[in-house]
Amino acid sequence: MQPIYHDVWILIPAYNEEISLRAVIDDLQQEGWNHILVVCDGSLDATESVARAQGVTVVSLVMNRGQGAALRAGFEYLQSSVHPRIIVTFDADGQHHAEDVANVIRPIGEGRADIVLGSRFLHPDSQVPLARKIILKLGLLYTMLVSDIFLTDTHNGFRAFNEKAYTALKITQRGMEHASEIIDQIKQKRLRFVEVPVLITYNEKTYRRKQGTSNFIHLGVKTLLRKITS
Amino acid sequence: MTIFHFFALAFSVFAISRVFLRYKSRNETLGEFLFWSLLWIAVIVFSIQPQWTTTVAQFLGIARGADFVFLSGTIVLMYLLFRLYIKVDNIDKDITRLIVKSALQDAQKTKPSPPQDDNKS
Repeated sequence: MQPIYHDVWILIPAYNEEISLRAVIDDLQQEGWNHILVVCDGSLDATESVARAQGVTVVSLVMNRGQGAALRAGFEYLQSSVHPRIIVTFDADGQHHAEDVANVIRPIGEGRADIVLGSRFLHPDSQVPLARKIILKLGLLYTMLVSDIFLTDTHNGFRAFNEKAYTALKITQRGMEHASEIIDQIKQKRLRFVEVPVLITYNEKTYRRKQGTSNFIHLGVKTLLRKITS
Repeated sequence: MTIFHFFALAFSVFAISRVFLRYKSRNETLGEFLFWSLLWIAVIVFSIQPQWTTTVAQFLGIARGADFVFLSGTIVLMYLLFRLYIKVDNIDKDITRLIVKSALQDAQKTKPSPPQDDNKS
């Protein structure tokens, strides 16, 4: 019999996702995930309205500060208000699939991990565009050298955290460099982690908007600067 | 003394006066006052006696006085840039902290009740 997971909250950072957010929330709710927190990161469109109309919990930043800041706000809110057993971070752009949530939280439920990291490269059906694949693979090598952790997917927003993990982690980087910061803290705080396959679906909008070569270089430089100045 | 050296001297004296006024009005720490004062005094000294740059350069193993001035200026600029980066980064972090805090305070007014039963039906 499949174990029943109590007290799981889905944390969705969202910036200008009025088009995809409704469907993302619908899919999660259809899968039975009814505890959803959307952190609106200073969106200029109707993202916040869409979220509130769906009846989910909403935290709204008055200015866009980046996904790291949005996740930080979400973690702090859930930790102080609800203190769930598991927090799952989930993208608002439709790249992630609600059906994968159960797989992502399973290792935590079974006591095998504190953090579960989704990996698109472990999923046989993920179709990663070649240019993006090259950039992400370079990112893996960079992470291995800088953070001394080997992962198959270092910048996947689909993750799950148990109570020990989300109370131990302190996200200080407000942009996408928070992903490297999380990886660093996994190692520093000796958190148990596993990777699980998750399906990532690209569409034209997400492909254009997500990290390109220049952003990758920018992220790498900011990660190095963070290490030097911390 | 050339015209350039004269203007460098005059500007340095003006700069030191500004540094002193900022220190006097408590807009600058003692450390900052000493740093900037020493910097501008060095400019004054080398404006009056430019040949001393060659003396210092050769002492340091650098061939020419101009190279010494250029390298020293570059090092000072890089240090100041680094300090500026740190300051801007700290301000950026403070802004984020304030925005997150404000958002959480607003959201706490309508926080959800704890889950009553299983998350999945």
